[in-house]
Amino acid sequence: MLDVIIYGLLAGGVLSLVAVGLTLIFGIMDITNFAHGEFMMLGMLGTATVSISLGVSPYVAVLLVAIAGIVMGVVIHFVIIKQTLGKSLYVQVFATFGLSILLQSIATMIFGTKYIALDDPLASSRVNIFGTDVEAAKLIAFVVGIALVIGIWFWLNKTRQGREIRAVAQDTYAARVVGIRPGRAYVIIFTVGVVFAVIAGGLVVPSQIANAYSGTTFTLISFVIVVLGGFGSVPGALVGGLSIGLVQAFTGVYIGTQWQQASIFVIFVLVLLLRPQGLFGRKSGDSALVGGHE
Amino acid sequence: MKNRLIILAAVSAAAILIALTSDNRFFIDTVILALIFAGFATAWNFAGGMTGLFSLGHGGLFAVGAYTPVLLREYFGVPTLVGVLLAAVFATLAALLIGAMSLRLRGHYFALATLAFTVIVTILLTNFGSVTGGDEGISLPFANSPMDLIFQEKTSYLYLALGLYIITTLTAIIVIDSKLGFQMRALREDEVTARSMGVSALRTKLIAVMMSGFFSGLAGAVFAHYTLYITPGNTAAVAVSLQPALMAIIGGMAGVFGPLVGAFLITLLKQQLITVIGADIPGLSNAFYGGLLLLSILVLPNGLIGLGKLPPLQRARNWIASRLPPRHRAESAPPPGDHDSSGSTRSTTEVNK
Repeated sequence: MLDVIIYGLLAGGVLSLVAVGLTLIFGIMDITNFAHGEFMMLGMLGTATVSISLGVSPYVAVLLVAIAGIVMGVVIHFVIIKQTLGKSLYVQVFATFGLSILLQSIATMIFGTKYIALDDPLASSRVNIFGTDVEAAKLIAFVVGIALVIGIWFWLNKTRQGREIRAVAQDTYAARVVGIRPGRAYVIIFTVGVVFAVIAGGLVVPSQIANAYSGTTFTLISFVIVVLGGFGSVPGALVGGLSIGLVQAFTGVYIGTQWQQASIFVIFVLVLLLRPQGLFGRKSGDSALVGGHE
Repeated sequence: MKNRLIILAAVSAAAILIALTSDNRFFIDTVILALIFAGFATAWNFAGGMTGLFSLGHGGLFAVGAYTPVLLREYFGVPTLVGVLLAAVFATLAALLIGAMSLRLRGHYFALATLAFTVIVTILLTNFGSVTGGDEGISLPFANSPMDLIFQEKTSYLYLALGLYIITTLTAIIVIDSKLGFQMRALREDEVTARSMGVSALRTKLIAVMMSGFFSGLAGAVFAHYTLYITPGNTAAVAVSLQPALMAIIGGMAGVFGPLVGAFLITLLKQQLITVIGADIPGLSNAFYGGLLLLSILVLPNGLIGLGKLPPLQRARNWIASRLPPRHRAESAPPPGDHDSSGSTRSTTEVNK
């Protein structure tokens, strides 16, 4: 029982890291990003490839890949995402869906469709947590993931720039009046989201095989976490990610691994119907319908 | 209504002409698939375009339509034609789930909830492998048995697909100008106002999704008997679910024939890309598809039909207004009565074909 809890929490830490980017992009830019998991996939394949070809530890490789992720995030923001700001939902859905197909096929061209596995002595060593034997890679991914999520929360709440970004999310017009440039906040948030997803990919790849189609699942899981925690809420993404990790671990052990996915989507629909604003979200102004202002 | 019937007759005549004259199997294959998906996209449009319920869950309904007649025939010996009818009925009932979501959720929330519906259907089809064949799906026996809707000749399928499209579109033509059609559009434009004027949101939305589900189910059943091979991947997957919405949007959501235009474009594009670019470099043709999709949605958010419908002056004014910072926009805005039709809502108000 305890080992199931530990496995679930460890898996959930990384899920929080992916989802926090998605929730910020949604909460601050009002963009539904269907390409989010692809950034994680690129992080997985990029880290594995760099680590194998340069012969360095994946934890060094992930830093290089994260820097490439910054460039990718800024470019994609200006070329594509900026054009969809404020547009209707279906423009966003299909622009980001097109982006996801594009990234997936570019990854297929570069890395092929084969699964890539990574073998690293540090990552595959075992550690003991409360009597449960786990891979070091999972512990490292959990610790780094949680640290980054808490870090972004502090940055948003305790620094001037973070407060400016939250101001843009609350009222773009008023933020503009007091001299904040929303455009800059959007670039920063989108890039942070991309880089977090890339890092999350780099953190899981030592303990998990990956190919060009590994991203889609994470897009869907991230949406579940974001809805569970409440759109735009960083603590929500943290708690949501850990809960989804736990649910997957328990379903896998007690019901069967083929039902792991189904369990989280059933939870997803139930949350949407019973408490659509999520655990940490605020209720919409339109009491008749949830999401009335979009 | 008369104009629309003439267009429908012309489309049917063109399809029949192709069936009679062309002996290019590849071309006929494209036309058949395009007609099936045109039916599916028109079905989606009852909910998505006309009522504004942006559903990403129609893959689930399509899958219900595809699996029902096949499974019923295999396990209970139900005649195929009865099975197809039951497929549409089951898809209608499944659509009520989407309807239930539409009563509480809107915008992003509704889109995501319906997407989850599709994912759940995919998982159920995969996990109950002993009945549905799991990931590998079901292959239908290839035999010439018209009563089972399995034909030797491709042209017979063309007539079948055309029939599906005509039934769906005739319903759409009748609905769009009826009282129900106006109520659906009123809900799409402004739900609160529509309700305050006595439009029953519950009744209208449920009827819209049920019609949508009925014809999506039919399309799924025709698709299953044409490809003779159904898997969770080609009937229920997220990509299938996005397909009808994409076609309706690329073609234009507001009219009756937008989905047809979109279905032909997308089907042609997919097939041609594979033919022209080839499969030598895996991923290259898909990269082009994704890129073109991105480009067209950014350049033509109102679809192709939307492009032709806006008068040039109006387009120019909208374009200038969209380039000005907000405060200039307020000054140069048209008089109040005209106000709603400019700016962000123009996509849906002005393009009523």
